[in-house]
Amino acid sequence: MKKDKMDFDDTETADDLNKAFVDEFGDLSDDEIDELYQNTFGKTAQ
Amino acid sequence: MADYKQLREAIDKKLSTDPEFRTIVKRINGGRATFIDTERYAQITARAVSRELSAEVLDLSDREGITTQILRDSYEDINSTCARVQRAMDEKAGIHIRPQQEDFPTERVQQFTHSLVDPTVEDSVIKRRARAGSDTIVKSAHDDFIRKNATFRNDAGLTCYIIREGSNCCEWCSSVAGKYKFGTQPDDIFRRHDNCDCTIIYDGQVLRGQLNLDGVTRNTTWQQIGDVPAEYEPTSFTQEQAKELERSNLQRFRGVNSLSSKPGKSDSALANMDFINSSAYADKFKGKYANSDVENAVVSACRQIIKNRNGTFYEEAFFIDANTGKTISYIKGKQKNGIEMSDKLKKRLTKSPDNSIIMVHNHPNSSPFSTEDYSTSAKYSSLYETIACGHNGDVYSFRNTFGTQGATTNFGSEAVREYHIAYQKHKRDNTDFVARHKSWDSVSENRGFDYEKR
Repeated sequence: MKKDKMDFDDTETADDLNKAFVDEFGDLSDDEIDELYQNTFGKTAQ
Repeated sequence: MADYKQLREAIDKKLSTDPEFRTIVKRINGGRATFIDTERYAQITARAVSRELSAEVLDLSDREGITTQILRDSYEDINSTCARVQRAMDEKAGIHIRPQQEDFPTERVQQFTHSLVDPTVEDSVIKRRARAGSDTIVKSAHDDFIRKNATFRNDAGLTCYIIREGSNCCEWCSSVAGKYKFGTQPDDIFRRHDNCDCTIIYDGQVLRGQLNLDGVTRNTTWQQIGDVPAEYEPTSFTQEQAKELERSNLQRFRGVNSLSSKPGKSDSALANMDFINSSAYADKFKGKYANSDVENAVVSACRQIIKNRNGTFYEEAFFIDANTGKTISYIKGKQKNGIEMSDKLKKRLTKSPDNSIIMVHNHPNSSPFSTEDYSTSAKYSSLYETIACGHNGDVYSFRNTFGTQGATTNFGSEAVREYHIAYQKHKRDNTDFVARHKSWDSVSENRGFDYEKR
């Protein structure tokens, strides 16, 4: 369940971002993340 | 089914309501513009075209024909605008050379429009191609003008310099950035990758004397002006070198102005007030707004907030009228690292005209935007811009985020989902804040809104 956030909430940490990713996609390998990135953005990172 | 007229009107409306675009047009009409302005003119035009085309491409009655006409309109408009600016500059310098205009790149555009009717790919790929391809072609109108005229004027006897300024988009662009005497520039100085926002202009106002018959020496009847050496040499750092440089630069603040002994204060939220109050900081906002009143109001808001919250993790926000610079609302955050808007303010944001309000707030730890910053910005069409000013002097800007979130997912919106994906990719080779910055770059390009780190 999404916790209450302020309208412009800047409490987000690196751990929060990592947890959000794992919650949605699971614990993916680097190759799987690369494939997901490629499918989402249609290119490799620059 | 959408036709040419509808698409044309949508693009024109986008441009006519963009305050920065209007400012540039005023400068062009007043004869005060430079190629920095025309480059920006081309970039804003490219974004408007690419966004609207991507939104409508699947519904166009004649996808190839309408796209070609739209691109031709933009190409000719940018060429003629550059020519106007060139003539105004030449008149001031007493130079009488007719600006050269490049031909419309018919073959390239044909290849592009043909890719939009490819039956073997999904609709999402067509939309992405429409956005990226049209953006690059429209921007190339400016590059083509620059290349053609730099070559022509160099041959006519003017000393020309090609100047490429990077926009921090990638290492390759940083490596070719610089000022080059014409003829010494890298072969691929005009090359761009998708979504490249580097500025490429030329400086060709200096007469160096007519070429003599030997083809080598020049007539000294005209006043000789010495060659100006290239002044810009970009320096590239590895991550380790950058961290060490940052550590040694920050070392001079430790113990000199420590706030950690004061209740509620923290060194990690310490602001670099010398820089914040400098003209270099104000330059980050120059030319970005409808007029100087708005520009000054935004700069003052950043300075005031950072001064008020220097050394603390509390935030404040100004909501500023994007046309007049007047303050509409001012909030002090009651909890650390965030701002909560009243229902009255939210109602005002909902009812105000599109693109009429600028929101300015501080980030005490100087981080890039959070996902909540984006989500809130994207809710209100009245928000022309959301700014986060870091206590270290970094400034982050969102524009045109309204309506770009996409569908709601179990964990937020599609845009936030994309941000999380991009972050996992970028964090591997970058620090946390750089990864967040690059992730917003990726998402803004993919979803069609404007993001900038100044």
